[in-house]
Amino acid sequence: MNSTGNDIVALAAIDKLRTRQYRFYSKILSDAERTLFDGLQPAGMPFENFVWLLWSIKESIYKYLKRTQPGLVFSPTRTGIRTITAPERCFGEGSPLQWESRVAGCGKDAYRGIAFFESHIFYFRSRIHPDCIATVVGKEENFENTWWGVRSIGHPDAASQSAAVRTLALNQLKAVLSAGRLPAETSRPDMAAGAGVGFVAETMLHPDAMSRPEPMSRPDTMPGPDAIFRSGAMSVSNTWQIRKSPLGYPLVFQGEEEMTIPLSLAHHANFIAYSFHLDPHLQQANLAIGQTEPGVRPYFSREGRSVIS
Amino acid sequence: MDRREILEELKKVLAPYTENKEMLAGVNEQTDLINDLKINSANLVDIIIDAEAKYNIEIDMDSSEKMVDVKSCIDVIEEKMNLQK
Repeated sequence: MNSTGNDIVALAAIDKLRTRQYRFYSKILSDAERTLFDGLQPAGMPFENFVWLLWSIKESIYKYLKRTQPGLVFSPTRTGIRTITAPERCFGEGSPLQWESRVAGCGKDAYRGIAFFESHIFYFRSRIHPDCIATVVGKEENFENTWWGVRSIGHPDAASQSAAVRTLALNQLKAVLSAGRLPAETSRPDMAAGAGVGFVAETMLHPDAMSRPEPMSRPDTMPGPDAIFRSGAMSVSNTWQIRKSPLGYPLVFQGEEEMTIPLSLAHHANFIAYSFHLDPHLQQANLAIGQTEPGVRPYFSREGRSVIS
Repeated sequence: MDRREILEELKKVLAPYTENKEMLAGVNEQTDLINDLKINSANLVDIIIDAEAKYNIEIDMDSSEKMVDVKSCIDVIEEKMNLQK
């Protein structure tokens, strides 16, 4: 199954002087990779940005692989960057600091290239803003089926980062899936409204919400997911949650059921980012099914009811 | 320097990179740098370099990759310090 991995580096939080020192960057870059820097000079990239760009690619690959290789250890120097191509136009001053879209839509202002770890080949897209470097990796060159979001937040403490990035990712995931057909809640007696409510599923994506972590449960007066979908036709379960696997990667749950949606989360200082990959076959199934087929539920791995044989 | 002394010095190395000061005070060999101390992975290289300076050792990449929890950090530091003798 294709997956996704992402990372974000807040440039205000790095030590630029230290990054330029050999003893620092030699723990991240190989000699061969250092030669890639020369090729990026027409873009005027500072060396510290180059180092952290490569770090973010390597960290993203680690996150991608960790999902299927439990014993994997992050090894920056054993993860290789083969090519980097500068974007046609700079993603610099004046560019939006926040975005949410398919990765495929970020073509002209993103660095792109090929990286590898052992026999695995990856493609990457990276945006370098004056304040942050964000990267997403995948195994599809065109990134048609991967979504990517980046935001800044008001409070950089771990609890705020964690709450905000989960809210951001879940809201976008719901929005993307609602464009087709979500698993009907009416077919899920175990998913009755209120059962196992996860706070991350409850928070509307609002600038204030991003800077102040929400409480672990919401008052009944807070807008629920129906407000997010703006559709009365479909009753959307409000039990979506992101949980951590024992190995530390995020899992998407609806109620107590795990969904087959690879998700990657990242945060650093005042920045949060996510990426998720949707299987194109399941996307088609999600678009095609109707509520008259309550047994058909894409994106769930259990019960053997997948429409994909 | 025994493991307890290494641990006490290691706390000083980790302190600038964790907001979880309470956890740092009660740190033990099972404490995980990222999951327990909430240290951002972007600071792992900083920690390795600070440890090199603190203990006057050199930590190669193979060794540094093992430094994911306090026990493995102490193991690596102890091993490298023994090499200096």
